[in-house]
Amino acid sequence: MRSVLLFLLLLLPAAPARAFLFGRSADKAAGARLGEMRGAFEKGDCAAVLAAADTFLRAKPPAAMREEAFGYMGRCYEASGSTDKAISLYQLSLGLHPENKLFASRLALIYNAAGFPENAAPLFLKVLALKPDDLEANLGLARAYAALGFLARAAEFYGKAVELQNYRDPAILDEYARCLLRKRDWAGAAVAAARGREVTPRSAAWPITEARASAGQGEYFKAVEAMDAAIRYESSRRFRLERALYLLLGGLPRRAIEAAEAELKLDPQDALASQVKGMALYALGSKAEASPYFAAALKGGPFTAKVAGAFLGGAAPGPEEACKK
Amino acid sequence: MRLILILSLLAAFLRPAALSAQESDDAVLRDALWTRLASSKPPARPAVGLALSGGGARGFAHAGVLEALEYAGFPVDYVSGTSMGSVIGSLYAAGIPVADIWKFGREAKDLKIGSDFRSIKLISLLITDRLITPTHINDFIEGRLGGLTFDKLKIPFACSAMDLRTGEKIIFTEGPLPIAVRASVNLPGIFAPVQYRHRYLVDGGVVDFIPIGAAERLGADWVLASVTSGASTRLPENALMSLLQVIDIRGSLLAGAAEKEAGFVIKPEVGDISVADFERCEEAGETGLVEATRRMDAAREALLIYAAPKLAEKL
Repeated sequence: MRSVLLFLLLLLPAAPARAFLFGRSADKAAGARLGEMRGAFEKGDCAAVLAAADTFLRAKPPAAMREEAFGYMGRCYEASGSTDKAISLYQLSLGLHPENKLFASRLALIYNAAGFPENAAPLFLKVLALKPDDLEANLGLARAYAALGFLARAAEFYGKAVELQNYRDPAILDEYARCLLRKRDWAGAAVAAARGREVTPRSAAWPITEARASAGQGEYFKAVEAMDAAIRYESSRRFRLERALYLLLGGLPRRAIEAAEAELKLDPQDALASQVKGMALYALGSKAEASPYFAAALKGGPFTAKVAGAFLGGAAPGPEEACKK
Repeated sequence: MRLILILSLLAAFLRPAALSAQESDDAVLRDALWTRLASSKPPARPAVGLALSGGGARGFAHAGVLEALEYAGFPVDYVSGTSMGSVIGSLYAAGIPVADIWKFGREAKDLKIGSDFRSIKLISLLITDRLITPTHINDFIEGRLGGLTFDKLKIPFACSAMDLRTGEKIIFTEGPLPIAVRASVNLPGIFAPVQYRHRYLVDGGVVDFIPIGAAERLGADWVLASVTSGASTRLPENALMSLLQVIDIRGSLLAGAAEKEAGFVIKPEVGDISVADFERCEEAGETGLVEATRRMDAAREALLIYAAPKLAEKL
């Protein structure tokens, strides 16, 4: 009898008592449930994942199994629109498993999508401390920094993200280029556009980037040429009017009027086209002739209306009332 | 927090399409006009002034505001500053890059600026009946601006102080720069007045917390003000901090009236940082950058609405 007790005592340090006496069968049951959850998750059957979750958790699984299961459950909550449950689960899971990059990453993505980049950034940094070449985290952090205004840092992480996907994703390249434009890094934006053109040569996004980089440097004729290229790929009203604005700002008001009139033929109520024509007439000194176009532009968006009001001599609220708060 | 998150996610999905279309038209117009304004010089556009308020360590938020302005290509033709605003403004006007101004904030702990405040013992002030000379602050100013005069600055600059004997607002626009900045940042009742040109000068925050008039006097048609919002929300831990907070509250009250004179106001929320928290300069700067970024489109629009007719005339 004494020798049997001694044998058990020797075995105890190797495994917790619960696991030794009762745990193996419980772990086995939990393991089977986890296997079911894994299989269902891989098949995209989130209903089955969440249905199995309850039984799995009742089996009091060990921490490592629970950690894996929480990952499936969280993503299934997200997929089924139960974001509140996903947030709770990720927050709890992060407390239990602070080294798990999936929980930090998923929670950070939710924060970013909901417009809380200040909460997302530290979580992405945590993920990157564990895995510096994580594409999603580099991209997520770049987006968070860009939203907060830390554009130098944003550009750095966008740069890493585009490098990690080997400059193959045009959407990320476009985002990167936009960040560089915001940062007034004209040369960098042009390089990003050139990379993007290699992937999708017939996309309007790249000549648009080039046009904005040229306009940012006051090179409006180059900007107009680039807009012409963009319009060949995608002839949208907004691109045509952006081109008209560059014509006007480049000192070609008559050509800007022609471009605006083409839009006004399609839609006589077009507020932005009216604004462009009004400003072009104003630049030519025909202020009385410009007035009806500014009056039409008052029906545009808040900023268009206020600019039109400024030309009309205070017909719209001034900047003090309109923009201060 | 969770409810706000869910509502924010929903709002992002439910945004009306027509509203987005109008906003995009606005963005096209704003961004195109901005390219012209940002690359023009007066008189082709209105002259733009930047007024930086006081606020002690909280005033380091201006460094973040400056970074956001640089990203946006916001023109700054004139700079004015009061107290900490005069320190940041003078460095910027001298052509010191914004990245280096940030560096000063990061190094504030090592530069021992806070120790000028920590060394203040009210009892010894009362016993000796002598005010303190802020050695580290003076060294910092001399080290960065020593030998400079107002006329040598890259951007015309003005800073405000107050004559302790007459209560007059004194605006410096010429002469040696370091002594003017020292006067502007010189807390009354604690640091000894700066004696200059037969005047006894102390911190301008008491009479001119946001020096908008000073920027206008330099020639600005339109002024953007960066204001460290709200007095410290923390309960002062000692008599000295109480005194600083009273000065701070007085500044905030003045700010309320002065803001109405500005073309646009950016107010970083740094109320939880105290005037003497120089270890938290970087945090104040980051708050300034985030707030200025959040408000930048509105600031650009305000200036464009003011400037558009002039811009169009000069095309």
